[in-house]
Amino acid sequence: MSERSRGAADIATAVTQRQLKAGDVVAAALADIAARNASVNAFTNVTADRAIATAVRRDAQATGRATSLPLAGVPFAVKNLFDVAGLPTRAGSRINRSAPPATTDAVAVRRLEAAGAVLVGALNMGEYAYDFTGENVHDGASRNPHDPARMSGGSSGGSAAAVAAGLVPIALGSDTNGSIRVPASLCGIFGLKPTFGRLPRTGTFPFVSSLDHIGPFARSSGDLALVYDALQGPDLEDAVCSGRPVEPVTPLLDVPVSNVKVAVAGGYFASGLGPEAQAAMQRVASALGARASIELPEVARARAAAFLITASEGAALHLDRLRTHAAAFDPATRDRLIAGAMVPAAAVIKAQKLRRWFRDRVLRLFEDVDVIVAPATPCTAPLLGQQTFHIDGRELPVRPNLGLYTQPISFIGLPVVAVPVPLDPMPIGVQIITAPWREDLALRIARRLEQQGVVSAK
Amino acid sequence: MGVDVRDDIQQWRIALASLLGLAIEDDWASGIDANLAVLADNMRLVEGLQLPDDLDPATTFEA
Repeated sequence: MSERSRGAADIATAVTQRQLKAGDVVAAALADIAARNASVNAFTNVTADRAIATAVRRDAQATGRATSLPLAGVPFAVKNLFDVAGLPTRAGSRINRSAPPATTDAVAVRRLEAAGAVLVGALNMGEYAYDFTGENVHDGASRNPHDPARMSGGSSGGSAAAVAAGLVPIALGSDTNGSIRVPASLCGIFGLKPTFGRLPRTGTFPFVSSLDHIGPFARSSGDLALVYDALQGPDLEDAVCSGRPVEPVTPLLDVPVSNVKVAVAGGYFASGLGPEAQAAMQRVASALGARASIELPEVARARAAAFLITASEGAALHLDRLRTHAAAFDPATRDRLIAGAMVPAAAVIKAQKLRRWFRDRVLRLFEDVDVIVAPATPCTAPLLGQQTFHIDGRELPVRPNLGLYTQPISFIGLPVVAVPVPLDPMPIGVQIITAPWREDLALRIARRLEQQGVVSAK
Repeated sequence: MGVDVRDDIQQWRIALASLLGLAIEDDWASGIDANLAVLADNMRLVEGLQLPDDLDPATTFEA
């Protein structure tokens, strides 16, 4: 088996049992990145020296027995809004490049390293995470490994591209309105946006504190669960991070799901789908025996509220930069942020009230169902530079509408696993949505679909 | 976009830019105004749902 095709669990087992040296795994990953990154433009920084030194330590730690390092020797990379000691946290921007380097790693990076993983670099992203396409004017677009003329999606574009291309088996991204699920869908890999407040955000450059989540990408449900388990735990420095203890999901992945009640999201989520999105939804729904349809109330208004909160909080964060460095932004980002700064407070407060209303209504639906299935993106990856696409016979801008189906769900912080349906020529994702704190159930469903051969990373 | 709405958005932009201390170049105006028009639509959508007075805004949110 080539190193490129090994998953995280396989690597960790082989390194722990001394069948493989972490040094060799990391050397192979670094060589692969050097040879192939240009085709996908996933990495903005490669931390080779650090990776090699860490791998040496992992090999010294390997005892040949069962270990508490579940990610021993596994190369990983992080969206460049995660603090990495010694690097400026660029968050996809030109402005942040001149910031002082981070003095410590983000909490999530520390937790993955504590689990044995080896950081190999930082990944391309949409500027300040205000993006669904992965097109960064400063660092270049991250490209879809299945067709480099197409978008990776964003804003965690580099993270998805790196995993889809097999440069690393796992990566971290962030999701405010869809920035894990959209690129997971377009690049055909698994992505987890957990419950809002489940995973620690300390040491990440923010976008919208009311909506920001962090989460992993992987090429299998098993690897996704492994990384999720390693990331869990309270974080007192993150104001919204839950005090829930670690609740391992990996041991539960193969618990049967035959009695799980699954419904397909109708109404808003059943309109505007292109043929590939429809096909993917049919395959997943059929495999899960989901015949019932469930309609979430006032979804268009919920999405509008998410837009207002995003626009105003994002603008508030960057207001000083807009005053002093406006010309250093991507013009598209700049214009969105300036407009966001002008939204009246009363509108934002109303949006926050609507958020609570919508959450309460949707949570009631989970009294009758356990899982809701919804599309992740309306279409497969658009071409790089594509400005518009057709939804329901209307020509709409690509940028905001790639998040059509993801935004209302992250708005109320529900956990979602994006599962990849390997259509030809391009893959597309489906959202597996559960009630808060039920990541275990979403991952079990993903596992079942993977075992059935319905979903897989291409 | 009708002329009246376009004028309203332009005045909105000019007034708020001044209040916020934002120096907006002439060739940025159309992009900003297009975004303001979208936000205005979003505000109308949100405003269109009647909510009880005693509903707390989700300013400290728990899923």
